Amino acid sequence: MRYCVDTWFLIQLSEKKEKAERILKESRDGKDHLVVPSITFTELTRILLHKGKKMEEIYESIRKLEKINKTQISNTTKELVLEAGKISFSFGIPTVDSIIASTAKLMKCDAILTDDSDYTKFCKQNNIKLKNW
Amino acid sequence: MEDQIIKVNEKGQITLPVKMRELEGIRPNDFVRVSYVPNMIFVDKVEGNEDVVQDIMDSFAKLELTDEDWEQIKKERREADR
Repeated sequence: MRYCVDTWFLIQLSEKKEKAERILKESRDGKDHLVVPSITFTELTRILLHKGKKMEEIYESIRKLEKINKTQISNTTKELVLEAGKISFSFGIPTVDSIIASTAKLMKCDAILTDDSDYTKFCKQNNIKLKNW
Repeated sequence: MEDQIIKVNEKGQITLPVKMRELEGIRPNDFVRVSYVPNMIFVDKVEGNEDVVQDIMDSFAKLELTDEDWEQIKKERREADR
């Protein structure tokens, strides 16, 4: 399974959720593939700085995550943000959500790891699953 | 570091610039991941040892993110677009 990761999944990792760990192991073993939109790190960083965390701690976690087998950080390209604009307009979803949705679509992901219901219509129309627990 | 222009040989092979290899700790026989997004190709070093998952879980746990943080993020996403 090829998963696109919403910020929700990174929080699941922080909470040491068993299912998040299982997906990470599947990625390490080459069975699953994780695509992490870089914009999730923007949200993560903002909220962590607000909580008093240091940039070094944030960098360290991200650096570890991106080095695992079959995990790919997706950079925000021109094609991606233009597609995001179309998605945001068509489905009425927030900009950040639309960038994650656009990443899932262009990177040909099977599912988005999130519990955010804003993606529901987009996912249905694009044959992408929503996975959460 | 500035971008560098390098030549692709007949087999499609390229040589990663020395300074970039040094900065990323890429040594002979290491594995690198090659990722594609439209119009761009990225190369980065991968590690695949047994402890890597636990290491990531521990590292993220130290960040102490909670479901409340996620609810805050969702709220901010919606408010930002109003």
